[in-house]
Formats: sequence, C-alpha cells, structure tokens
Amino acid sequence: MRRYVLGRLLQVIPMVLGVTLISFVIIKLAPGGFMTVMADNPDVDPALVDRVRVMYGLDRPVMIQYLVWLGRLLTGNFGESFVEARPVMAIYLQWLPNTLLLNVLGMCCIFLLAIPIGIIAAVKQYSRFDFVVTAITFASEALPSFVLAMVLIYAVALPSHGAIPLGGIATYGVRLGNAGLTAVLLDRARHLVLPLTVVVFGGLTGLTRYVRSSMLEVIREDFVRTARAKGLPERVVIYRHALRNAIIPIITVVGQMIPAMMGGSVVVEQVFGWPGIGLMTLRAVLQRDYPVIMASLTVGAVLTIVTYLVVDVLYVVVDPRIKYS
Amino acid sequence: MRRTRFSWLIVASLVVMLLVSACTGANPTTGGTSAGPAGEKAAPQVQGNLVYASSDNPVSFNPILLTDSASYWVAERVFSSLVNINVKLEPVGDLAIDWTASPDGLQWTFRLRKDVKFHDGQPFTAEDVAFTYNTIKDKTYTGPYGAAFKWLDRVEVVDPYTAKFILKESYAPFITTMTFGILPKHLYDAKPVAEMKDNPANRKPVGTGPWKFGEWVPGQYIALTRNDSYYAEGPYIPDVRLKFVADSNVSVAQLEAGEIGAMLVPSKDVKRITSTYADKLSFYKYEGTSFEYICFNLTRPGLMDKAVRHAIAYAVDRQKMVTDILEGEAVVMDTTMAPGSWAYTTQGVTHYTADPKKSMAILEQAGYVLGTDGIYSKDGKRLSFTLITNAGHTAHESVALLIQKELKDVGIEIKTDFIENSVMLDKYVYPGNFDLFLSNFGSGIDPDQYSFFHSSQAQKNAQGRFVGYNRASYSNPEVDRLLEDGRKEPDKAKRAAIYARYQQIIADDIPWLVLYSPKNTYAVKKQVKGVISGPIGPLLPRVWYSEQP
Amino acid sequence: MEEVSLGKAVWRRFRRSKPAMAGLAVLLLLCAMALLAPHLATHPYDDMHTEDRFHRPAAEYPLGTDHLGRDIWSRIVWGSRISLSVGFLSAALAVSAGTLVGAVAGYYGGWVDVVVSRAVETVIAIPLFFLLITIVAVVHRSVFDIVLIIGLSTWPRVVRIVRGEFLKLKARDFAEASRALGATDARIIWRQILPNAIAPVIVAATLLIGQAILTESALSFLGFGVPPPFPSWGSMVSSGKDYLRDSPWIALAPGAFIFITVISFNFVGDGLRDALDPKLKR
Repeated sequence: MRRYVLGRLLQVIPMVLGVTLISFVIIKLAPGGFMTVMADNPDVDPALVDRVRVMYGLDRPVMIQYLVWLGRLLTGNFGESFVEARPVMAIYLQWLPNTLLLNVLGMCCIFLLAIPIGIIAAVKQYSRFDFVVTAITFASEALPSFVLAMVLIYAVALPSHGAIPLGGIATYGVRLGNAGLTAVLLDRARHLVLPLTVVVFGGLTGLTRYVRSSMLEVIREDFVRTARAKGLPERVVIYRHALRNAIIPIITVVGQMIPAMMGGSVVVEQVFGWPGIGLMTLRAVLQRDYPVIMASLTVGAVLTIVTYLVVDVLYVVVDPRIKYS
Repeated sequence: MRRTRFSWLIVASLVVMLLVSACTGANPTTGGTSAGPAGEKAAPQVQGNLVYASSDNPVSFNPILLTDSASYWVAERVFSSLVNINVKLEPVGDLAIDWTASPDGLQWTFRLRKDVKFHDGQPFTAEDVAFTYNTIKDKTYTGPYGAAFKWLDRVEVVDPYTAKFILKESYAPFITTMTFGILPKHLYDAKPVAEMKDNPANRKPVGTGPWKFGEWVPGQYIALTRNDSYYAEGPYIPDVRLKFVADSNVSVAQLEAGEIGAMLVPSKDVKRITSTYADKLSFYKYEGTSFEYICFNLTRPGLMDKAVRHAIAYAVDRQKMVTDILEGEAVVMDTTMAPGSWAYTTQGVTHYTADPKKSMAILEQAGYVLGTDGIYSKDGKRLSFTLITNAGHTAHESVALLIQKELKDVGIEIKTDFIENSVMLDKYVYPGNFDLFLSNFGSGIDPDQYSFFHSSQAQKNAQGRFVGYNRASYSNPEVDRLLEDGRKEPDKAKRAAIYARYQQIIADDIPWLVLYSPKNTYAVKKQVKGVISGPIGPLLPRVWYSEQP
Repeated sequence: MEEVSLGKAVWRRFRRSKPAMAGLAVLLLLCAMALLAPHLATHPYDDMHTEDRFHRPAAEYPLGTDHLGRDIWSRIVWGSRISLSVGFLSAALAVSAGTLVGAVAGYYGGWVDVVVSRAVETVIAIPLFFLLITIVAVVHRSVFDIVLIIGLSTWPRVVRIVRGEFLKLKARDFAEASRALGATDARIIWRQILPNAIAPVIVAATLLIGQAILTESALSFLGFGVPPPFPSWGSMVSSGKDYLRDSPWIALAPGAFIFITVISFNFVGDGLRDALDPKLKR
C-alpha cells in the first residue's frame, strides 16, 4: 500500500509538467498580449513596447519562457503579474479564500443532501418521493446556471428590499471590529444565500443521480439479496452492505466535481460579484496576464491531480477486490 | 465591457481633467467664486455617503502609470493637478495659481499654491511637479505617456513654489496636458524610475486631492475618506466608495435597490429607469466625446474607390441605427470632432442621409454592374467585403448586422466577423489586415487629430504595425498640411478655420464613416445635491453634498 | 444472450418507462424540426424587422421578436440545427474516444493503465473553462470549433467511468471464465465486459449531450459562444438575458427549448439505463 501511494505520488511530477507545458503553449498561442492595448496608442513609443517586452522576457522563444517560468516555480515563485506589477502569489491568495468559502460550503451541502436523497430515492424506487426527486434533478440539470442566477436576482433579491443582497460578499462596514460576531456571521450568510443556491443546485443533481443509480445497481446484486435472505434488518442491508459498494463509482463522480466546481463557479462569481479565483482568471485571460493565468491553471491542476490520487487510493481502500499494482 | 480601449489615453486625460476639477468659480449652484465654502449661502453640511459602480477592477493608482477607468476614479479624487478643465472646457488653475508663457511659447512658468499638503502631512512644492513630469520624460520610465510629451524637454524648479516647463518646440495643446495628478516625490525618489511600477505607494496612493485613500477590498470596493485639510472647497460627502459589479444587469438592479448611488445607466435601461425611478434618482444627460465609426481600408480594391465609400455612406441609415439599436440614446455624427469642441463645425460638412436609390445610382455611374447574384461588380471584381468588430459588444454586433442588411439591399455584400478584442487588434487592425472594422474612439479636448489622418501615421513600424491611428491608410497632401499647421498655430480663430476645412475634406473623402456618438445618462441618488453636469459628464464631485447623513 | 432477443428485450423494457418514451418523442420532434427548418421557419433567421423590436408573441411572430426585431421562433427552428449538432457531435466525440481508451486502460491494467490514466488526468486537470475560453479566443470560432473543444475537454470523464467499470468487472467470474476458455482480449472487452459496463457510459453520454448544450450557453454568457448571426439557443438566451425584465420571452423561449431538450436527453438516457441493465434481464 505504501509503495503504491508513493509510486502514485512520483507520477504526479510528470503530470504537473505536462499540464503546465500544455497550458503554457496554449496561452502563448493566443494572439494579442497584455501589450496589445498599450501598443494601440500611437503616442506610445514602440521602443518602450519593445523594452517592456524584453523586461518580461516576452521576446524569447516559448520553450525558454516556459523553462524560466518553471525554474521560478521550483523556488515557489509564480512570478509577477504583468498588469498589477506585484507577486502573483499575493494576488492569488487574496482571491482564493472567497472561492474556497463558496465551494467548500457548496460541496458540504451537496454531500449532505445528495447522498441521503439518492439512497432514499433508490430504496423507494418508483415511490412519490423518488418521482419528485427525479423530477427536480432532471429539471435543475437542464437549467443554465446563469439563467437561474439572473432569475434569483430578479425574483428573490430585488423584491426582498435588501434582506437578500444582490451581490458581493459582505455589507460595507459590517466587520468584527465594529459589529458583533453574530451580526457579521449573519451578514456573510445573507450574502451567501443566492450564490450558494446556484452552486448547490447545479452540483446536487449530478451526484444525486449517481448515488441513486449506483444504489439501484447494487441493491440488485447477489450479495445484497443474500444479506436480505439471511434475515438481516433492511437498515443494515442498505447502509452496511449496499452503500459500501455503491459508494465506489460515487467517489469517481466526486473526484470530477471538485475541479469542475472550481471552473464552473466563474459564472456564479461573475453574476454575483463574488471575488473568487474564477473571476480573477477570467480577467487575466482577457488581459493576457500570463503569470496569473498560469498560476491559476497550475494550482487548479495540482488540486485535480491530487484529488484523483486520493480517489484512486480510496478505491483501493473501499473495494478490496481491486488490487493495487 | 464598454471600455473605450482605442483611446484610453485621451479619455483618461479627459476624465482626470474634468473630474478633479477647478477651484475658482466652478460651482454655479452656490455662485461662489472663492476657493473656500464662503459666499452668502451657508456651506452644505459634511455628511452622507455615495456609492459608485464599476465593472473594472483597478490596478495601480499612480496617475502616470494607470490605464483603466476604475483606477482613474480613485486617482481623480486622491490626486490634484496643476490645471483643470472647467464646464466650458477651459483651463483653470488647481495646484497652479496662474501661469505665463514666454513669447516664443517655449517656456511656461507656473506659480503654485503654498497652502497645500499631501495626505501624509508633507508639504507640496515645485519639486513634486518637476518630479512627476520629469519621470514621464525619463528614459527608463515604463508607463504609457512618454511619447505624448515628445515636445517637452524638462521641468525646472525655480523656487519652492514656482515651476518652469521648458519645451523643445511650440505645442498648441500644451496647457491641456497639465492635468496629470502630481505625485509625492518623497515617496518615490528613493527607487529608480524603472522600479516605479513596484512601489507600494501605487496601491496606497498619497496625493493632495479632496479625498484620502481608505480601504481597498479587491473585488468588493474601494473606500475613500475625507481629506479634512483640503485646500479648496469641499468635499462635503465624506464617505465615497467604488463598488465592483461585473455584470451590468446586476449593477442596474443595485441602482434600483439603492445599493448603488451613482452610475452611468446602460442605454437599454435608460427608458425604464428614468421613468420608474424619477422620485429616487436624479438624471444628468450629456453627450460624451466618444464616437463609433467604420474604418475603410483604402488599400483594398473597391474601397479605394471614393464612389464605393459614398455609396456605402448613403446606404447606411444612421438615424435608424440610433433609434432602433440605441433606443434613441445617441446622436448621429458627421465628423470626428466632438460636437462640444470649439473647433466643431457643420458648415460645408456633408451629411449623408440614408438613400438606397442614390447609393445604387452612384455605383452605376462609377461603372459598376449589378450581377445576377444581386451584387455589383466592376471588371469582374464583386463588391464583397468583411466587416470585423469586437465580439461581446452588443451594440457593435447589432450595428454590424444592420449594416450588413442595408448594404445587401444596395448590392454590396458584407460578411461579418466578431472577434475577441485583443485578437482583433493584434491580428487584423494593427497590421492593416482588414476590409472594414467597426470601433469607437474618444476625441480629445484639443482638436488636434494629426494621428488620425496625417499620411505619416499610416506608415508601419518594425513590427509591421501602424505608427498612428491612420489605419485607413488615408493620404491627402492638403489634409497633411492642415494637420501640421493646426498643431503650430497659436491663434484660436485661425486654428478653428484650419480644422473647419479639415472636417469638410474628411467628410467628403470618408476614410472613416462616422456613425454616431452615444448619449450618456448619469444617475445619482436624489439625496445628493449640487451635482454639476458639464457637456461631457458630471464633474467636481467634491462640491456635491448630501441632504441626509 | 442472442442479439435479436436482446434488442427486443431492451425496447420492451424501454417502452415501459413513460418519461423515456416522452423524451424520445420530443427528441424525434426536435430532430424533425432541425431537418425541416426551412419549412417550419416563418422568417429568415437573420431578417431584422427593426420596427417590430421587442414584439410580444403574436400571430405574426409566434414567440415574439428580439432586440433587433428578429423572429424568435424562426431563430429557434434554425438554432435547433446548431444546438443539437453541438450536443450530439461533442458527446459522440467524447464517448467514442473515452470508451476506447478507458476500456483498454481498465482491461489491461499495469503500465498501460498507469500511462493512460495519468495522461487522461493530465488533460482533465486543466480547468475546462479556462481551456475553453483561451482556445476559443485563439481559434476562429465556428460551430465546429466549439464541438471539437467541448468534445476534447470532456472525453477524459468518459475514460474515468469506463476504466472504473472495467476494473470492477474484469475481476468478475464471467470475465475470468471467458479468459480460461481462451477468448481473445478483444472479444472479452467487446462482448463480455463492455455490455456490462455500458449502463454508466450511457448515463454519462446523455448527461454529456445536455451538458454540451449547457456549456455552449455558458460560453455564450461569457461572450465566447457560437458567433452571431448564427442562432444557437445558448447565444439567444445569453443575449436575451439583458432584456429579461421587460421582454422576458427573448431569453425564456430559447431557454425553454434548451430545458426541454436537455431533460429529454436525460429521460431517454435514464430509460436506456434501466432497459440495458443486464442484471434485470435474468
């Protein structure tokens, strides 16, 4: 087991190299640079544009630029943002907490809701509950998230006269210094309601459906019948025998959800003015702020790779039939 | 994302000029002429707050480095400049009491106020003025404004309160360039100019303006606080904030909900907001200085033929564009000069009224034959062109589609292509790799348009890009001469005559087909009074006051 | 397990599910709509009646007009070609590539699995949206580019699912038995394991079709969708969102079509999953 995990950890290195190289080349292929708008102004001396290009090493071949970037990364340095002229790390850390808050909370809600709902829907297949759950999951799956977000703004936030804010993460001036802890928490919660609803609604359905279909499959398997035949209580059958086996494909789905959420929250962040990594990266892409884009892609990629690593290890743990090789 | 990227330098200086405005006699509501809140009328109370909206996130508040509109919002409130432009678009002193020019126009001496302190308590002197402008002239300066000061040689400190600008050549628009916020030398001179962009003071600016920089929560807001020792009138609203909202539909909703107190209303919402919220909001309408235009590539066969350009101009119904696409929130324009400018004229300037029959007649007269496919051609060359514009700009996309339809009706085929802005610039516009493009431009306060149409501006640099804005590759010796003379002529009346002739020629040659200038509606919450709205927008926010705490 | 009875049995079970049959009917109607677009559209999709902008749904404009006075019904009809192509083609691309690679990786295991899995994870690790946005900014956007990009960026998900199923199934008795009887690898993969692994692939495929249509609409929202004047449903919703307050039909009509289409795909996929499930067959 230890050797397996260690081996997998070693494989992370070429993967990260691969991801960063692919991203770097793709980004560099994009026409237009952060100098484009500057160079648009005829009052800007072309010599200055060249000087800045050289200053940031943009005049060198792409592979050399990549190696320079990689070399810096090894010392823990993501470089300096072209646009903001300060370390990318500082920028990233400024925006990260908001994304984490929204997505971690979102993931928790999704788990807490989707797993029980999926199990119940499967156990009581064709019941009214199953029908309602299925209908809702089907419906929410088919709704573009920005439409839901806009509808929530017009249908919930605007008529609420400030009870549910239209966007942002906090009311100006409400902070620990001058308001009580409860007031601050309540204020943050109010701002979270709508973005969280969109995030959870979007992520909930996929997981619920997988839990349900996975449970349905397992329930029909021999060992579950056997357990039932042995006269074990239904509760034990479902939660000890069936769930344990049903959870395996679910792990894969969860593994896919984490990176998808990081990327998918761009739309939510855009609509609700939630200052997270998605918005930061979107801006960086539009401005061709390569160091920031690369940092975002690299961190996202490492996160995903690690998630997969954990998923695979968990697979081995929960399903003894799979041998790690 | 309606940023005037093509012209940010001009818009930028304009905004800075107009909004950090002047001290003397610029407040018609109080009628006062003194610098302080004196006069018959009691000064308004210092109270209240005002939240502005921005879709941009600012980057650096250093006035000589910044390039985006959110950063201007901050810089124009935190910094003050030597000179400002008043409601009548005339220069008035701000940090400068007055100025004198030598007879040859090569030396300008500014007398400075002695009662001004930076927000950190350090006194403001001529050293700061010299530092700010000499930095722009420095060889290692990395900001974008260097070439705009080609004519400047250096700035000298005569005494602590007198600064002298020494010019290499006479430059008529000189005084309008004295509108950059003055930097505090003591926070910047420890490091070389090349490293100025990394100075932490850029993100926590210290100036001499009416507000001090307060708190900045990236992605959320920037809060400014009142400068209690400000040297002139105001500010009366102590708490002003810039709130970041990425989606314009959401910012409009926030305006309706009262979460935002001042913003430019998107044209599609103007009708609804002005009719529904008249009791909660005041509206200030103004015609900006920016205009939308189509640039023809005069090196392309077909488009180099003036008859074709005339046919296109008569086929395009600009009035319909304004009423149908812009909901009437724009005015048709015939020249590149801002209607508010003293050099603007309509006399002898061709106004193209939509007339499809006339278009077709012009084409036929020029020897074009209508083909079976409904498209005119001459010598086997069909009149078929590609019109490009920046993707995601709803108005541009709609206008392009309308033009496509109208030109089809007169036998000219247009293919449209919508491309992401910086891709469009880099791959198509800069290298001159286009037939027609649709874009917008902000014309400046000064009528000098040398970079638009002087033939030298159609040349390309080592990277194969146009050195100026003359991407139409327009060349006309008479226009060249007019533009050269206009820059040097000190007499305003003579200059006006020069630019009148220039506008007439351009309107007839149409290297650019100017379409319209968007009208702006600025909404401010009702509690805020004393808002001064000039021809190009609300200004002098420091004298605005709130009736409620 | 004879082929003929299998197909019949699947159809018999599929027919029992009302939502699946309804979904299938709707999808057939939508396909018919796409094929018959020239006959169903009442106006050319790019014809602007600027005097009738923001027209409410009425006899002349069954679903109203948009901000340029274009007939929304006609645009939806023509747009069905684009939106359905985006959905079908990108899902087909993802499923065929993903199944092949996933099956090989899961079946052979060992270094093949390690290399394939890590390569796939490398691709999957690049956040989808930024990849999309960057590529869309680079390439000259066309419907085909969008299909290619969505397909290429989603196929690794299919690989993961198929590989997981194969890992689970190849250890099962029936596969071991076939192997003992000397069946070729290809036969075991194709005839023994794949039919047993197909249910989750079908669930994934139906989700992918819907997701591709939704992804296109989200790309449109951020300004990177199918370029005008081609009417994709996603770009129609996204340009209509600016007028949601006063002229909601501009966004809601194409939105409803997206909604119904995606739901139908999911119903059909769900019905197929139940129908194909080999364990029910016994």
